[in-house]
Amino acid sequence: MSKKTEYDVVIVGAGISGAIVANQLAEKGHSVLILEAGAKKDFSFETYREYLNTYYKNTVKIPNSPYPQNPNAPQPLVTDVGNIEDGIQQFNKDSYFKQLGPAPFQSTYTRAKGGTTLHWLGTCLRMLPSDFKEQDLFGIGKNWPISYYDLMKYYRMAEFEIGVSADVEEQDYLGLAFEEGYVFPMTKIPQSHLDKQLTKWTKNAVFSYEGETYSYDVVSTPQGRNSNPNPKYDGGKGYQPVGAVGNPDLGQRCEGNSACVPICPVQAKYNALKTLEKAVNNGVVINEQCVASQILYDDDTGDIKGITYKQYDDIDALTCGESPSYKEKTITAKRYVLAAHAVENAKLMLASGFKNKNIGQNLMDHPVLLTWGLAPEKIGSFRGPGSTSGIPSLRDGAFRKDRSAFRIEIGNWGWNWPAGSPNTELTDGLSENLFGKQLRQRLLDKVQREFRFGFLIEQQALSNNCVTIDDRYKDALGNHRPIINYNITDHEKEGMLAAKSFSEQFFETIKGENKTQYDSSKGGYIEYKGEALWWQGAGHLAGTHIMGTTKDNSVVDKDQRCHEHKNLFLVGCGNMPSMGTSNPTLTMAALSFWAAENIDKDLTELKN
Amino acid sequence: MKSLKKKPIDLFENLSIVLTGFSKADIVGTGLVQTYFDTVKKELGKEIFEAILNAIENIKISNPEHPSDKNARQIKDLMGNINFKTPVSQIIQLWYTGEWVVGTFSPENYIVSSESYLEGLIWKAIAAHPMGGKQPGYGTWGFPPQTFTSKN
Ligand SMILES: Cc1cc2nc3c(=O)[nH]c(=O)nc-3n(C[C@H](O)[C@H](O)[C@H](O)COP(=O)(O)OP(=O)(O)OC[C@H]3O[C@@H](n4cnc5c(N)ncnc54)[C@H](O)[C@@H]3O)c2cc1C
Ligand code: SF4
Repeated sequence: MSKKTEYDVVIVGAGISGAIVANQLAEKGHSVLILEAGAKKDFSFETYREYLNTYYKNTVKIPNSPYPQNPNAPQPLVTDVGNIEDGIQQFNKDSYFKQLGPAPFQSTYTRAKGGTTLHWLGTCLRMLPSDFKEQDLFGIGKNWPISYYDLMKYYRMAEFEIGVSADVEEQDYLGLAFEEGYVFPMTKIPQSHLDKQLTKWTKNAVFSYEGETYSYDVVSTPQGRNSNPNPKYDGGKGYQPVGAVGNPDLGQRCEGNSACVPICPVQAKYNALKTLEKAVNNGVVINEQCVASQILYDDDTGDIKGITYKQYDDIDALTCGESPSYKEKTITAKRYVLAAHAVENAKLMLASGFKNKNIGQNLMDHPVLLTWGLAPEKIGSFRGPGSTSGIPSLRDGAFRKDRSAFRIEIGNWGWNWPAGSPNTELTDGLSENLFGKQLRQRLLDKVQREFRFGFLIEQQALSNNCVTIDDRYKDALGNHRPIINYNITDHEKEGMLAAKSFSEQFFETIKGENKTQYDSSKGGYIEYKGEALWWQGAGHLAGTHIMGTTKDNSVVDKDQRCHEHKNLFLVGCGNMPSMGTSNPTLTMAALSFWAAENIDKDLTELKN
Repeated sequence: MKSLKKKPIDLFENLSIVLTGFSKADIVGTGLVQTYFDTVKKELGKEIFEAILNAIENIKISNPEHPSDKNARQIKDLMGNINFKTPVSQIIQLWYTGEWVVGTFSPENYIVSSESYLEGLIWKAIAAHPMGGKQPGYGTWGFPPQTFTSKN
């Protein structure tokens, strides 16, 4: 550990948001320390391979399966949400979240160096210009204090950092604007055979709902995974893809490992270790096994006086056995940044006695309505990235005042998400006493036609969906466990009804078989207007410390600085007052670049 | 395994070929015949394992890759037999997924090794590749799927 007594900046959290801010500030010559809660891990590829082996050997292949639970910095798991018994949603006894409902919160994150991008899918959609002012336009949710156009420069920086693959001429729909001549760093990831067949089968067909018609346009998705560098990038300078940390020749291009969630074996998919390693090379210090537990501030001025953290002793890296032995320390700096992800940032501020009433409120996710069925012929499922295309036509429209917009994700991995395929197909075959070539043929015929839709339903920022704390609920180190209140509104359920209707009409159009069947005992099952619906979490936690114009309507200002604590900046999806129908990380990364710029200005003024 | 005339490992290999519907090359090519022989013996216990091998010896499968109709019926009967149904399913699951399955979501289930996950025959059966391994290469997901028919 470094002997230095005061850093210019202390950042809590070594995920993508913390890594971007750290690296940007280090490049400008500021000294930066990151406190990271996760277990100590070096940047070698061997260390990363341990995660991969853990994933291979885990019988339950959920998003956090490669990243062992760490009692000193616990993380929520999708398996924490149990079944509905006698109409009551059950939760696993050992869950990290204390859930108060009424709806289950089904999304998770990872508390390990590199953060949740270790197991993200890598979808990198920009938000639509209308998403930034949805209160003005549709009377729903909250407006941003900045516009799409203010963020364009930072979107470009984020697309460079993550290494986004897309063809710009396919992305200028629903008002999305790009600068003249802009191209993405890499050309688009090839669309799957499924995407191509769906395009063919839906040509000239339309989806109709409540008197309006919408196209079935299948559009390739911008993704944070390496393809071929675009020679036209950056005025003809081109782009150099970033391979695996500790083994840079690997992962220069996506190889079709089909495991992006939970782990890309070659790191062709971006994860924050890539930015972190750069940051360390630029002088950033990362103190691992350090869980921030309290932010100290001056009651009169609001100025932050230091951050207290618990540094715990080494634990067995693979099994993460319990080790409650730790030292408590306090660190000071000129500027402070919280980058511990939406729920943890809010929790930390609440545990520190911050007074702003918006902290913890406006928790958002994208409830994902899943539907699934069989294509009219074999489409070759379980190949390639999790999703290579989507259908954007219902992301925007006047209907948003009456029902939620959604983006349709086309899944390349059969019924893996909704029904546990292919293993469940095997169990079904065995229950019919099938074996040998018959069993094999049945698996092939069925699974090769499987595909699913995920409808990412826009959720509005509402004060009742919130994170709180209670001294009765703490983890092994004595830090609070987050308490979650969460629900789905009728506006969102109306969106789900439209999504279900879309799916039904779609399967008719392509002459496929709609096999969607919802199990009323599964978490996320609801009935609305006589229709069965079933949704899951998207992992898009956002909105717990939103930006806005005053301390009454928000926690941070448009510069990402706390209204009431001038030397404290917040980064991460918690700052977003809405997400629209975009997976949030690209936008949040853009905001992190913007935050870093503001912190740099601030520090430069201070130093002069 | 004194009651057996053939070598137990050879019987196990034949049994594996018939049960999975894969060729000898596919089965041997996993490099896991001995590992799985040991796993199954350990998990089922000597008595049941020997009984299964005995049954398979008595069936006298002439060509495990293409069992006769009679042999197929005999195997089907074996799967229908209350004593054998679970262990035979477990052997198929082991070959298909690399996992020893005691019950759905049972905490006693385990994956034998990273290798056994990657060699799971289920991925070959569905003309794909294990999620997270044996990557087919850039852009291959854009091609039409491979075909297979049981008549091959
Ligand atoms: C399954 C899944 C798929 C996803 N797919 C996509 C996608 O396709 N596209 C998209 O845009 N987004 C996706 N996301 C969301 C995306 O992963 C997150 O938005 C993003 O990782 C958040 O970045 P972050 O830096 O704010 O937080 P994180 O990446 O979670 O990093 C936070 C860091 O802070 C550390 N930390 C936490 N608490 C403390 C503490 N008290 N003290 C010190 N350190 C602490 C953590 O250990 C971690 O390293 C997905 C999420 C999931 C779960
Ligand atoms: S498809 Fe494979 S190589 Fe490509 S990003 Fe996903 S896991 Fe990585």
